Amino acid sequence: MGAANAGTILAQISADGGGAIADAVVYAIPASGPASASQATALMAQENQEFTPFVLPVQVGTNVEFPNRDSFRHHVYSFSAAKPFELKLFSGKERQVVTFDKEGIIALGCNIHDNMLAYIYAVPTPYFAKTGDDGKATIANLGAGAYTLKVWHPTKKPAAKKLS
Amino acid sequence: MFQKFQTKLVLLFALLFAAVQGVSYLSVQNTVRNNIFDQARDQLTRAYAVFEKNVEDTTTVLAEGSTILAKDFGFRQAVATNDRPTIMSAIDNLSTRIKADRVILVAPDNKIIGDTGTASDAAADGNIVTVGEANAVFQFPEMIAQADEEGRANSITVMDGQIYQTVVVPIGAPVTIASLVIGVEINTIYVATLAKKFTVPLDITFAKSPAEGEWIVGTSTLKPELAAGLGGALRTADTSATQVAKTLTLGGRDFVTLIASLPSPSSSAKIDAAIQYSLDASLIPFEPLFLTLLGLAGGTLLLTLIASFFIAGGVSKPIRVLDAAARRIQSGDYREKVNIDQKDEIGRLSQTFNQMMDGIAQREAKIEYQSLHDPSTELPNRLAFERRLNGAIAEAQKSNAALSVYLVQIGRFSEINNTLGHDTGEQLVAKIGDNLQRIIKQSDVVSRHSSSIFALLLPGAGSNQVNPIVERILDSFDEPLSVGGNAIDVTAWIGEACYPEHGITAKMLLQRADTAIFEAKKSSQHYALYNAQLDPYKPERLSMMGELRSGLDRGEFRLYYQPKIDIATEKITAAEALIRWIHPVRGFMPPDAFIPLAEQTGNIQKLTSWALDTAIAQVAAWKAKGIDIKVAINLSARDLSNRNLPHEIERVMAKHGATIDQLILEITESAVMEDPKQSMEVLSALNKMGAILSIDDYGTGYSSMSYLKSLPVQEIKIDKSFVMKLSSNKGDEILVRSTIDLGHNLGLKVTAEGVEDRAGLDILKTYGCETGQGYHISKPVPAADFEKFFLTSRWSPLPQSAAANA
Ligand SMILES: [Cu+2]
Repeated sequence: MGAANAGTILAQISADGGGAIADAVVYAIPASGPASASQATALMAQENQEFTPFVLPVQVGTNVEFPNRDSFRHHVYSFSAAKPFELKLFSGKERQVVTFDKEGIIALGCNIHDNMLAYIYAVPTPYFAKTGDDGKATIANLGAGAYTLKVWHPTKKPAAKKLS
Repeated sequence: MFQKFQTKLVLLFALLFAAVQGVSYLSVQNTVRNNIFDQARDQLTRAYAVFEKNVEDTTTVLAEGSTILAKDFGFRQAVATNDRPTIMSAIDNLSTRIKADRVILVAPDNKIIGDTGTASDAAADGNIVTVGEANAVFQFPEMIAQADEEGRANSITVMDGQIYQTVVVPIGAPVTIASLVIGVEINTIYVATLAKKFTVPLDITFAKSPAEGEWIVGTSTLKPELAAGLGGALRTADTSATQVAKTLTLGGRDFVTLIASLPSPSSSAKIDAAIQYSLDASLIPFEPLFLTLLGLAGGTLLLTLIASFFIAGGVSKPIRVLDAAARRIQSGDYREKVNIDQKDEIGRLSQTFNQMMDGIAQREAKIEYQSLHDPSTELPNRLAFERRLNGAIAEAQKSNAALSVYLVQIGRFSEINNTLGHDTGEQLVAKIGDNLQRIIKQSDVVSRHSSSIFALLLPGAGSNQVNPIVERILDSFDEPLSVGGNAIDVTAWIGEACYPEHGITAKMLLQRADTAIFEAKKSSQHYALYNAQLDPYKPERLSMMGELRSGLDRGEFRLYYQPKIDIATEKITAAEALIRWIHPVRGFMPPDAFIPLAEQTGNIQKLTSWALDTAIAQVAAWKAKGIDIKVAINLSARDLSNRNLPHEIERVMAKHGATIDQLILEITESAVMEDPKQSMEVLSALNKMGAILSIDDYGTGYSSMSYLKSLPVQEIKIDKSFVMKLSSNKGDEILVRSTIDLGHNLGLKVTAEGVEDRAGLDILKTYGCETGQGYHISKPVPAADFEKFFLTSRWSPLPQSAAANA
């Protein structure tokens, strides 16, 4: 993990072996207490029989839209305790929004395509970032104060997709 | 019982054949077994493939069925939300649908969420799903991990002691939130179903090894008692080389066995599958073949026995025939020939046998002819004659017929032999034989009985009538016989004995005829019929021999003395001591009546000892009285073989004070000839002592004058038969003269016995014969009479005055 400048945290996440880890979520929790719920929106699209992005960090309270960009159906579900839900989606015809109002990891699957896997990570702070392929992430616009910095990343990758 | 050649041969054939059959039978059986083993190995390999396929198929069914459940949204939702009733009913439904014996739901941390339990649990629970104990842990985490990684894991495991074919699938939501473990128990139904899939009847057994080297049979299509044995067999068998067929013996039966180690989690007990092919069971289809083989072997063995019996018979039969022929030859039967019509060695052997029989028969006939014939005359010999005579006697006995046996003796045959040679003698005999054969009838028998005697067998002539043949035979000797350029004058005597009058055996008849010759010699007719009155050998006389011994003791014997004179001076010089037996009953016995018998019975030595003692005592006594003469004592053949005789004489002489020059010992030629070697020894000893030895009865024996030369004798005594008719018979005169000349030429003195008249004495004097003895001088007289005669007779050597004084 890199050093934090005032207002900005630059993080570098790497595995024990030294390889950069992508899709790791880095987030900072202010010591002053949890921030107010977000009114922001985010996208978890289904494209080419895959979720995109693979990992989506959001602040608790964020409304996440699930656009289906494929020509076929998806049946997105979550059995995760933070947000169980089920969306039967048809390409472009519906606009489905789910509000993630609890902190936690939500594993997303598709009941039609077993290979589809994605994670939504709801954090109780607006200060979070996701590492790129180089393992680096930047949290900007931090106010003055003490923060607890946390990192999470998924262990399981989606299986190779089977294109129909 | 194995003595017979045939039996041996049959047994040999049978053994050989049985051995061949046995070897071929065993070889067929071995080949069949090997084939079955190869076949079994192939079958087992195929069966193992079937088994693997079965496991795979079952795995597929289980995996597919459970995957469907694992993917069920509702089920996943239930698992994710820990909706236990839903979870359990879904599991129960799954186990029913895919015919699983056990389903276990395992959390990612290996904790068991739910478990249908073992089949027996299920049965007890009425197939209602029970929830596993809290904190129960699934024992094969590696299977969970593998399933999470690969979407499926399958293995053969042992759970709660039961063997399961086990499949594990993950439940993804979408990440794995739990795993489904589905088990099919490898139970009797499982193995029975599996066994049905094999194309041949095979047994399959699953065994687990809870510890190293320990094997427990789980499920098997084998009978329990065999299956239990397999556990032991696996323990001892080398199971490291799996999937290699080997033969295991269970309950005494052989099984070709393929053992395969099954894939199981490392934490599970090891599990082996044994697929087995019963060799014995697979041999059952071959039993008819083996039975047929055995039947064929037995049948052909029987045929071999029968065939070899006949073949061996064919070989041994001619051997038996030859054996029988050899036995016939042994018993002397050569008539029956061996008849084996074969062109081989045995046939030739039988021909040789026949030739041998002929040869033996011919030789035997020749030997028999030789044994029964005299080679010189070709006449039957004594043996043949006795046989013929016995035969004739037997016939005569039946028909009450009479027989006559004649012996014809040729006179002076030994002299003829000596003077003209043996060959001439034999030619002469042959000629006489021819003459005799001409004289008798064809049916009559003439044989050569001894060197100088012929025997004739004729039918009995009328009683008291001399057979004219006798006359004809004697006539044939009238003219000299011409042999080898010599005209030989031959005298013959004939003795006759008749059956049954004189004897009823051949031996007796011949003996009697011989006795008759003796009589014939005395008669002028040259012929005599046997006369029992004259026979010294008459049986009643034999009893006298006992009396002879006692007579000696009783003093019944006397010595008579016959004077011997010096012919030139006509004075007594000696006396011959002659034994007389005055038998208390029979009266006076002539020496001829007992001397030969005494010789035969061994009493002669006693008699001789007595005579020596008496005569020497007498001559010593006489000398004391002034009667100075020698005494002559006769010795027999037996005496001449007595080595002690010289010592005995010496002893007796010493005893009576006599001197050896007073003694003359008379011996006959025939006595010397009985044992010439021994006689010569005794005679030489006597001669050394200084005794005068004299050959008695000279002229009647066989020995030649030249033989006498070799004897240590000083004197010969011409037999009285030549001397008695000296004055009337010209022939005797010539013979006596030549004998005297011959004796003198050999340096011997000559005594003539049988001087019966003055004329004879004068003739002897003319010839220069030294000593004379005979009735003309004096008959033998007792000692006292002799003494008187010596003193008073005109033959007394004493001066007439002295004689007159005595
Ligand atoms: Cu989908």
